[in-house]
Amino acid sequence: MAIRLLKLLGSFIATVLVSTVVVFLLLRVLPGDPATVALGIEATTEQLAAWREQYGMNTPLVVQYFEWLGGLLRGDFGVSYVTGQNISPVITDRLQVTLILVGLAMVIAIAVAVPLGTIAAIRHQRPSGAIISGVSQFGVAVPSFLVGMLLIVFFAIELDWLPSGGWVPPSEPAEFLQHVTLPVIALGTVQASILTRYVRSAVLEIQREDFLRTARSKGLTANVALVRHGLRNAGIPVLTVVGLQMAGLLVGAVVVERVFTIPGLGSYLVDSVGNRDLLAVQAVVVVLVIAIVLINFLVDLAFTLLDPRLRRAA
Amino acid sequence: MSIVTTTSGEASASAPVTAVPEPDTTRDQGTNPVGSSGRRRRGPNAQLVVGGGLIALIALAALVSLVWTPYDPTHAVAVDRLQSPSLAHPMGTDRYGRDVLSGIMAGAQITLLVGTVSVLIGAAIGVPFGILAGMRPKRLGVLIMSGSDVVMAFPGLLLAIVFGAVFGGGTLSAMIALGIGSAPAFARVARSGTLQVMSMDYIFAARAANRSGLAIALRHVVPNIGGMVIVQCSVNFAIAVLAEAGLSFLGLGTLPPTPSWGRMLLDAQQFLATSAYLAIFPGVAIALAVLGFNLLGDGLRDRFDPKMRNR
Amino acid sequence: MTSTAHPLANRIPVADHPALDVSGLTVATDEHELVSNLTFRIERGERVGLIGESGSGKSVTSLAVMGLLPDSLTATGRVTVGGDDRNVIGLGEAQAAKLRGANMAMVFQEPMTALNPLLRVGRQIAESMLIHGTQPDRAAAERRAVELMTDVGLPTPAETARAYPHQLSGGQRQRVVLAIALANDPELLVCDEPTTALDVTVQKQVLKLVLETVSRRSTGLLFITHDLAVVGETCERVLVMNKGVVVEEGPIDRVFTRPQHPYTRGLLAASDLDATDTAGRLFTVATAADYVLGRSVLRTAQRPSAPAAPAAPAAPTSAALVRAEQLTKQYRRDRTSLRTPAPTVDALRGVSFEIEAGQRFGIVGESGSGKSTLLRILSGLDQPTSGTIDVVGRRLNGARHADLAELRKNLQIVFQDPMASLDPRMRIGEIIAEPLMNAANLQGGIAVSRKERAALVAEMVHAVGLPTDSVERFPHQFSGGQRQRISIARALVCRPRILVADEPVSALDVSVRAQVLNLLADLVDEYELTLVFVSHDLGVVRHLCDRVAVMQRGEIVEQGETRAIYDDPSHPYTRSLIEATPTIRHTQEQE
Repeated sequence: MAIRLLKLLGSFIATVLVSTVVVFLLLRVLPGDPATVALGIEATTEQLAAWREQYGMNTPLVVQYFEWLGGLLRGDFGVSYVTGQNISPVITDRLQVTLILVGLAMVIAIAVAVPLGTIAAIRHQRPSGAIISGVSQFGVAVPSFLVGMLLIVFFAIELDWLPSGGWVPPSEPAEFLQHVTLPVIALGTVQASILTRYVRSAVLEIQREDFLRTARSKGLTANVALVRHGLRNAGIPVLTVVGLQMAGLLVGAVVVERVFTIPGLGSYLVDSVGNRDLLAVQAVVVVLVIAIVLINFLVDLAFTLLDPRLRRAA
Repeated sequence: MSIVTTTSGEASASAPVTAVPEPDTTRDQGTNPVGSSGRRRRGPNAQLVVGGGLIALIALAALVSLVWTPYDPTHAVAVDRLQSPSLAHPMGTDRYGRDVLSGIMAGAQITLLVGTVSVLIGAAIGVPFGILAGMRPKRLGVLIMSGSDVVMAFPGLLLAIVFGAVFGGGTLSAMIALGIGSAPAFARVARSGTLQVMSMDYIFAARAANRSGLAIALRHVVPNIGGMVIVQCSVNFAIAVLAEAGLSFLGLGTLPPTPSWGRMLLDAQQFLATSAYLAIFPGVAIALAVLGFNLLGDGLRDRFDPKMRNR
Repeated sequence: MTSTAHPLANRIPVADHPALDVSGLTVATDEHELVSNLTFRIERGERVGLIGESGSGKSVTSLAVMGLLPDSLTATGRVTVGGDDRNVIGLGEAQAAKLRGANMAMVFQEPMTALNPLLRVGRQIAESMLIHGTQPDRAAAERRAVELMTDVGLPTPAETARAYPHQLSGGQRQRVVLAIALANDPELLVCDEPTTALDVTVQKQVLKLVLETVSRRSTGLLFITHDLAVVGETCERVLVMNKGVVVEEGPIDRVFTRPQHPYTRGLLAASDLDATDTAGRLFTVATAADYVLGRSVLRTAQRPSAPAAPAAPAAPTSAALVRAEQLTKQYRRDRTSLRTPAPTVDALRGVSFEIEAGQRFGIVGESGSGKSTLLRILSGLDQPTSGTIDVVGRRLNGARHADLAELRKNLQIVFQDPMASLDPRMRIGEIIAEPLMNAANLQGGIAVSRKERAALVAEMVHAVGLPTDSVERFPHQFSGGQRQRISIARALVCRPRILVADEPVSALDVSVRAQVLNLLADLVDEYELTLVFVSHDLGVVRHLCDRVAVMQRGEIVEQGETRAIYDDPSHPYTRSLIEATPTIRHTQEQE
């Protein structure tokens, strides 16, 4: 078990390091000279040199990478050369917002998808199963920003129950709930549809397993056997999907943030792209990438805890 | 989505007694007492038909729009702005007076283009690496899959946004970014299929018959994993359509004036209160395209993967 | 288990009810019947075998009895178990579940997948008792589980109860499944091929355990198998099933010695590896009429050319075709602990043997004996850790590509699993022609044209007894036996000198097995092949091979002339193998 944990941890750190190199190369090297990007092509040589001096970009690339990596480890992303803001506190604020959105959306998705997907699998030859399956097929196809826009049309414009956008932090619970409900539903329904399909297929797969027949031969009914012995086994592939969904949502939530004008991390990223604020883009991308790798790592870790075959204690 | 309805317990006692020639004399494994009937191939299944039909419809719209649309989808007519759907404009007009139907027809081009190119890029990168990783699972395979893990950390959408920052956005950079982003999925599918194939005795036999690695890959591996790869193509096409719509919605995908469904949704956003149809029509178009490719993928999976049959 | 307030007390019987009563059982799919109008009884303590080949409907019968039929099948008729007079057929899942595990229990074929991989085995046994309330709480049930594990002969039961299934061997897992089945002392035990996936020595132990258990508890036993020899050693009465119908029924000794139905007679003839016809071939269903029950005719497959002594080593000094000296092979496993180094597995530890031209060399061993590793090294697909191996005068260890090519020209393989050995996407013609695609395989090393290839393929198709138009078809259109014929055709199309057969008949029904073995014997004669035949089945090797090497844990414990080794085994392991192998002769001779 210790070996496996060490291996997982090692590959996690390696992946993070390689990813930072990729981010650095993508955003510092590919776009060309950052000074020219920042000051425009009319800038004089002296202006460019001064700018490079100010932002520490007159050293070799390798040095710049390690300085940047060092800042990353300290949680210091420097100062944006477009807005003059310190980047780190912005990222912290924005990340919080996105994590709340993604977290709540996934809670809803799991709460809806696990029972519905299981029912759809158990009744896959009956109308109720077919209906769940068909509805989820549609749910998967609808873009979440469209769901968000439709929610605004009905609940904000027609019924005027909830605000059409904006963000209030959880410190004001009532206001927070009002603002968070529609965007979370927009994200959650689509993810719930996707997850329902995977739960259904995992449960269908598990139903074929010999050990479920053994459980039934002991005297469990088919459904009880499935719940007691099947679901935990089916949970293992489903967990992979949940991890992938969360990783995808960290970035994917941006479209819903845009619809509801929520100041999330993705919105910050898109705004920074619009401003050609490459330092901020680099910071956000590396945070997102590390978060994604971290999620994958946690999923692998969870497998090890869930499945005794992977533990193999010596 | 099996259509077979079944009953248990007492039922038709008068089933026709037919002699059952059981052609397969390999020993009963006990796991599939249903015998041949459970795995019998049926005609084209409903998913395949509906999915294929939707895609054909979109492809038709794209093709027709190349030569004809009701109006010029990029031509602004100030007097016709924000008209609700009518006989003259079945899907209404946008804030510049452009015909929405024409825009949707022309937008199908971008949707299909982005999907096709990004899937081709993803498959062209992912499948060969995946096969290689499956045929040399030790060091090379581990290396390839570690690389794939790194790419996995950059989802297509994030990559596309980064490319937008670096290259200034546009359809081409979106297609490339989505393609690269989907390569790990292809690599995984190809690798797991290849591992399965490589464990078969017929590969052992081919090696014993002095076949080269390349011959084994081309003659045995590719034909046997082809079905899985095609399914993955269909699934990734749907993902690419969604991602392109999202990117254009963020203003980072297809740039105006080229019509694109995601862009139309972005433009519709400020008129939700008055002209919700501006969001509905392109939204439905996106959903139908994604639905089409997802259904096609499921249908093909039923076809190619006997384990997944009867769903 | 005999407390007064027994929750199952109401099922405790009027004395003379049977353990199982089946009448008019018919199971059908939408299109056809799998089991037709089946009627039989099993008394308490009686052991009844249900024999049939694949597709006979025997497994479906067991599932119907247990109320475990899949929804896609419909069943009619009447099945009652023990003193409970409710009909299992049509009882409904909730009521049927109350009978399962209490009145009747089942042991399945595949022990590797029959247990929940995420739960400790002790809990899985305890669950049976908790479901039916035969133990008051989990602690009591788990204590009882340990007792049951002792009963089924699991070593260190208290520790084993805390193990997960993947930590146990196949035989141990099957014992756990048996403990689950016996937990509530059922009146009927259904065993569906319970030992088919196990090694012979383990099979013997598990069969013995089942026998002891059912007789001690007077449990009725329904024993389902394809293997006549196993039924002969296990049951008192037998039902022979073919295509959903019981064709013959009676006491074992009567059915095995005086079969009434031609199908039974055919099965017996094809199962009897000690009996051959005048040409030295096994009986098949077709030639069963000549089969004389219970009398040994000839022991090994004879060659027409040398009727008496099979190719005795006439010139022992002549160069052996295969010579292996002190072969070892070590595998390194992944490390599982920080403190200990990565464990190594000795797959082979010093194996030496010689095979002379024209010999039929058998390699016998159970799982883990190293026979598969040896085979891979022999066919140039793996390298030994140390030792030397020469095939047709070429040193294989450290061989360069060209040498291996030369080897593969001379040595071809037939595999065990007929489903996995043919590429499902290729036509039979392409499959058989595959070795011809590389000129290095051909004698003389000259490439052949497409037309010549087709002619060579057609010749082989004919030689293995397949219809000419087979070349245009795909593997899924063929039965298991036919697929093995295709495999053999592919192996022989380049005219190798050595044919390696890796368990070629172990996945086949008995009637097909005899045909394929006869074909192999014919072809070995016709093409003057040297045969290396790997098997877990002593009977098959004894019939086919003139020399045999017995392998255990990476070593050859004994080798020599087949007859000598079988008649007078010197190594205890060989003796235990021979004793453990069930034969129908054994049953017949008790008559």
